[in-house]
Amino acid sequence: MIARILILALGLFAAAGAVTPEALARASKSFQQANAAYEKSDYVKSADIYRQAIDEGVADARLYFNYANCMFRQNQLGMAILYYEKARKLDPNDPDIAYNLRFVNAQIIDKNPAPETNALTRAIAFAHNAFSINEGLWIALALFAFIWLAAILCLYAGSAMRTALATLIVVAALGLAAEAPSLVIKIKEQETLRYGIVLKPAVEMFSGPGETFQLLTQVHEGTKFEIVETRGEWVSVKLLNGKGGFVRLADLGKV
Amino acid sequence: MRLFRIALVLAACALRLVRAEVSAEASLSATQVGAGEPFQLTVQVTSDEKPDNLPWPQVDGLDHFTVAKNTGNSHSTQTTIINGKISNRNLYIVNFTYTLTAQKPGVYQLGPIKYAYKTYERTLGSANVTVVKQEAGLTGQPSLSKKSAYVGEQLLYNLRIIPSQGVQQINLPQDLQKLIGEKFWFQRLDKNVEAKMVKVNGQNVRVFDVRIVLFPLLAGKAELAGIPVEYQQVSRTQKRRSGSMFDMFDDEFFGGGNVVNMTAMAEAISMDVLPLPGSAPADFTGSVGEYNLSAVVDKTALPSGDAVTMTVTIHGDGEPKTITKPKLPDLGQFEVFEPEVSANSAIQGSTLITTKTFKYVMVPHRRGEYTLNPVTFTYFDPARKAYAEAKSQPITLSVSAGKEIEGSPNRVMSQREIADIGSDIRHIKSGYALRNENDFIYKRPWFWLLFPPTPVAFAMLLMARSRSRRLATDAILKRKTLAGPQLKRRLKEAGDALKQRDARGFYKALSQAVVGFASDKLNVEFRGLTLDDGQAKLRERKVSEASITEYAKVLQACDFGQFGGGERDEKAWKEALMSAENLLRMLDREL
Repeated sequence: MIARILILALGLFAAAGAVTPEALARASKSFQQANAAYEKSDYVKSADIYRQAIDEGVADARLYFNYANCMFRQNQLGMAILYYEKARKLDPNDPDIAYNLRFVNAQIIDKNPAPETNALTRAIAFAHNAFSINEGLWIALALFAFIWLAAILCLYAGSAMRTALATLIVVAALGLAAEAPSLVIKIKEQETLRYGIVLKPAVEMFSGPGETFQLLTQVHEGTKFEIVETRGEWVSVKLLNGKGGFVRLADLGKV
Repeated sequence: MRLFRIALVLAACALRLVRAEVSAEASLSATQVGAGEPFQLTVQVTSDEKPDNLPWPQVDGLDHFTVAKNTGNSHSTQTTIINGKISNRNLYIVNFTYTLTAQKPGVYQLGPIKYAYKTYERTLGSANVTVVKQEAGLTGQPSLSKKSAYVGEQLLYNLRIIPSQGVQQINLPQDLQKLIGEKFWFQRLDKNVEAKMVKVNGQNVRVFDVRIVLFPLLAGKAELAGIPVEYQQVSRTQKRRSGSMFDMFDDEFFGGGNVVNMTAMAEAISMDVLPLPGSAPADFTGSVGEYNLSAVVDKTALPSGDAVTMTVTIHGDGEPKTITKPKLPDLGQFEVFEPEVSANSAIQGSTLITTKTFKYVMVPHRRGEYTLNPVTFTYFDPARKAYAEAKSQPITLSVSAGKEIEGSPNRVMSQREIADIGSDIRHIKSGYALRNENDFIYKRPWFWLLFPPTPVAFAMLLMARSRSRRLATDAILKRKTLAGPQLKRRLKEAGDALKQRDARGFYKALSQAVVGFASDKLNVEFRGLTLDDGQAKLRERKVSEASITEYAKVLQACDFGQFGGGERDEKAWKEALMSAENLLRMLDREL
């Protein structure tokens, strides 16, 4: 178990820092140029330049957001939703991303609503999505350090001060305990969970990985799936309502 | 059941014991019957008194028949008025009924029939029953339109019945499915089986045609079991005449013939059911036959956001249930709702034709000229022995800009969505320097190294505080604990004296270091520890003799160095220092 954790940790560390400062500088320059083209309503050109920045390997919520806007202007709703989703993944609190995503989703053919949830579930989901992974990790570190520093102060503080510090420690520990599972889930989702967006106008969904299987339904551009597994040219997908099937990998864009 | 009450008179046998209180008579419902046709022999016993456990009659000649027996009781009162005098007589009647059926044609004697009860004993007579071959039912074979057909292909099963005289009505059994079995789906073409006149061999003949369409469900050899056909046969009753004027109503002229329900079995018929070829198209849903498809829209020009209805009609002779939704072309720019489906099956000649209609409501979201590709429906064509596709003509739709903002779907939306519609997406973000937000800090080792310092610091401070508290309360522990630092200090003094070439100071510091360390470890007062006391204390603590001897040797050397003007050279001092350090290590180990 320990060995597996170590391997995972080493893998994670090895994957870090893939973008060089030079690539980031080039992407930033492209970003500015693309913004200028967009302001002149030259959406084709701006999309090309945003694409160059994305191809540098830079993952920035604003870059994805702007590129998605270009896609929407060119009536490519699937690509627009794909990049809004990518942007939201990096910055779940950005209201502009949420707005545009909702706006475009209202225009696609398939309505794929998530199952109805109660107020408690929505509140938990809100708290879960309140911070990005990095923000959550910094908060967790701050709480952790605060707990131990307060404990150190308790060693030397007077009785009244010690009670106050103990109360703060309990509050901070509760906050950490509440945040830790959310962080674990987010990191696990980041590493394992993948969503896909239908990029073609209409895509056939089969009961198995091939056209010889029963045709279940037809899904349309912009529909969001959870990708369960990939089998060659086919992916097993699950709709937000729990129903699923197989579609061609080439017809999807991965979030 | 036709009830010929043939007057079976066994007139001479209509015996009545005048004075007796019991009488018996026998009657037959028919003396000529068809093979398999049931008829009744009834023995009626009449008594003035209520009979008790009347015995069954004795009937000979029953061996040629299958027999079912039952009895029935009745009671009547006979009133007579003679010369104003009224008298009543109770009559108790018991009917012993034999329902007889002969399977083989021939003439069979039934009887003699005897009845005996108490003192009453009579022979009621006998009769010949002629059983003839059944002729009223079917002539000709049941036929199938094809002896070999594909699974799902429509077939016509035709059973032509040419009735004999007296056949009035023909019915098929209610539960045909049980007879036809699981290998076919079927539907009767005619609700009622009506007689009609057709020419057979140049002669007009009255026939009944029973027509059933069949759809084989399973490939292989299939046998259609014989279907029992029920009909009503009217026959003239041959009944014993009583001489009453009412007997004339028994004549056929007055409709007095008996109606008997008969059943005749059609022959079984077999056929070959061929499987459909493999590699069926993905959208094939099992329709076999000949199909055509049409698609029309109720308007060809409309504004975006308005609905257009496309009606797709599929028409064919396959099994009705197999007609499923057609395959629509790519309607990506339309919101398409679930279709309203209606189906109708009708008989055209001898064929069951099904028409299924799908009405799709479609809402275009954007203006433009759209050409909808053909709607298709895949089926298997038995005539061509291949899968085929029925398709409609392409449809052109002209969608103009609607009143609503483009992109507004005509559907039920949430309040949030309604608020969004009518505006535009939010503008791009600019004025930022990009950063790689995919660089998650949990992938960075330095981030995880930020966690340990605070708990480690806490642990160290906690231990230090705990030690400090123990030293404050435990003098022995404190002395032992401080022995090391004290020793270091004194050895440093000795070292300083050595550097200054101060022999007295060197040996004094060395002596104090050794005695001080020993007193700290032995927990005795430093000043009162003489050499002898020191040795004694060391022995008490089980220190080795070698260490005790070395202890004495080092202290004596120090005394000599301080007070006796001992060695002045540096080498001797260093040897003394080394001896002292060696001794201190030994004592540290042993104490």
